[in-house]
Amino acid sequence: MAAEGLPHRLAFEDLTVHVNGLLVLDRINFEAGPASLVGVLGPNGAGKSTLFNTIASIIRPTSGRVLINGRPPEGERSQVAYMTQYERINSRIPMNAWDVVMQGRVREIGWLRWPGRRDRDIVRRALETVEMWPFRNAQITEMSGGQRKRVFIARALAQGASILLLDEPFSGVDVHSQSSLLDVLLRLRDEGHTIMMSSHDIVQMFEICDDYLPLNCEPEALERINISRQSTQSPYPVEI
Amino acid sequence: MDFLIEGLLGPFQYSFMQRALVVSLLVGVMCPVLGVYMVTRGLGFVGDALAHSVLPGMVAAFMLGLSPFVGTIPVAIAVALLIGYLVKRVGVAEDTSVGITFAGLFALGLVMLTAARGLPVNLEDILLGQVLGVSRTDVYITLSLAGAVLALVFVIRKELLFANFDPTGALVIGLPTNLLEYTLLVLLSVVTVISLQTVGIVLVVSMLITPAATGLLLMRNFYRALLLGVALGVAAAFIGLYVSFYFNLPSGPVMALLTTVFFMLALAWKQVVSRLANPGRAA
Repeated sequence: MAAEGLPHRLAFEDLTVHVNGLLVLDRINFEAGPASLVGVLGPNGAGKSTLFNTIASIIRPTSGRVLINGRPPEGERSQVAYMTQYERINSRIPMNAWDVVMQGRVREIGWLRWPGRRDRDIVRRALETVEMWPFRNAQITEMSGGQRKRVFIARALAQGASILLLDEPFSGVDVHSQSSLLDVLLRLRDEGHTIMMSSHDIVQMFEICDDYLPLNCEPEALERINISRQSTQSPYPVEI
Repeated sequence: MDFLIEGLLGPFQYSFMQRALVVSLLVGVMCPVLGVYMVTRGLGFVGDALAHSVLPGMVAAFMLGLSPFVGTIPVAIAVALLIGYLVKRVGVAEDTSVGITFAGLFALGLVMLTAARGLPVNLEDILLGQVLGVSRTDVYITLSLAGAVLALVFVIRKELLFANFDPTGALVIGLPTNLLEYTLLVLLSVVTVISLQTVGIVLVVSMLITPAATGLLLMRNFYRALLLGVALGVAAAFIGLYVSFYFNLPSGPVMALLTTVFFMLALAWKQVVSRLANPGRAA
């Protein structure tokens, strides 16, 4: 768990990232504290996934740095969980919710051991937190989009991560499931987690996020965002 | 009763049958263990490609008077790593990589086999396996390699499964996903080479894929699918030896045929259970 005394749980300092020689992120500066829900805004190709991959140490920055609890991310990997999009999951493998969440314990369990009582307790609590305990034996391939997302959030909790990276968490999720998923995210935020998420639904981001990180947005689009923030009841999505 | 006992134990009064039993059972265990990881990863035919690709190494070993293991294992590992490199680094599609290595090296092996006349082996033995001809040394080598493979799979079972299920999630949590994938390919190459003597180049894929696929068809848990695959692999090896002994049939093809029969029975069973559970569903 991150030390509460530190001013910022997640910070970017002049973060610049090239992918295949192309400049994707250009001198990004940003700070997020504990108990915050941050929306990453930007059009397709703006670098949202690249940003998440950089935080998760999958991509190395060209210059600048990412700091997690004031330290480089390589030594803080257990603090970061990346909620994978379902399309990237290997659905040929029979796997129920319990098995998926137990994967969050894989590094703690170690190479030779089987999961112990402590691991099982942590997995149970994580599933209860996201209200998926009754579905612990259900196959991940047979779940709805919202249920799957909650299971992957539970895996992040079982891992002990304090920073959750969610790439389009509401895509492919029906309205009712969006609401319950949002309840889970807000509860985790209130419990002290730092949640960074990207979404195409800008209006919804305004309603729920505490802070925003715009990436490669046109100035006019940012202006529209500011106007929309002042009237968050607007039912119309804002294109950026 | 005596007739039954004689029928069951009779074949194993011969030492060549005892050696064949040990090697066949080891293959029946190892192939499905690796097979469930390969089938779920969509790499089932990499085993087939490896089996064909080691032919030059096998022929070279025979030419030098060495054990086939000496020639085939390094070639298999090199080919497995080459396929991994082509897919991950060069961006060549998996089926294309498999096709290139499979065809090129198998052709080279056939040319070498034809050019080097007088070798103490014929093409049919290589293609279909010759488990009844394994030596005591081959048994010891197979036992050692099988022990090493199974021990390593046991150690990295959770990590392999995680990297197979969710490569990005595994990478983020800090697992060495590339190393795990290359390790899986190296293990597959060792298991493929071990299995060549039992079921041969052509049929090695039947022991790798079919029991694993049957386990995955019936089970809703990865490790249970693995265990069922092992049970079926062992059953195919055991029954296959008996059938080949009493009916004077080649053991490798009989074992391969049995794995297919098990799969068809499992498929029929699943259809029946599905119909009973959903009686109103149209065929």
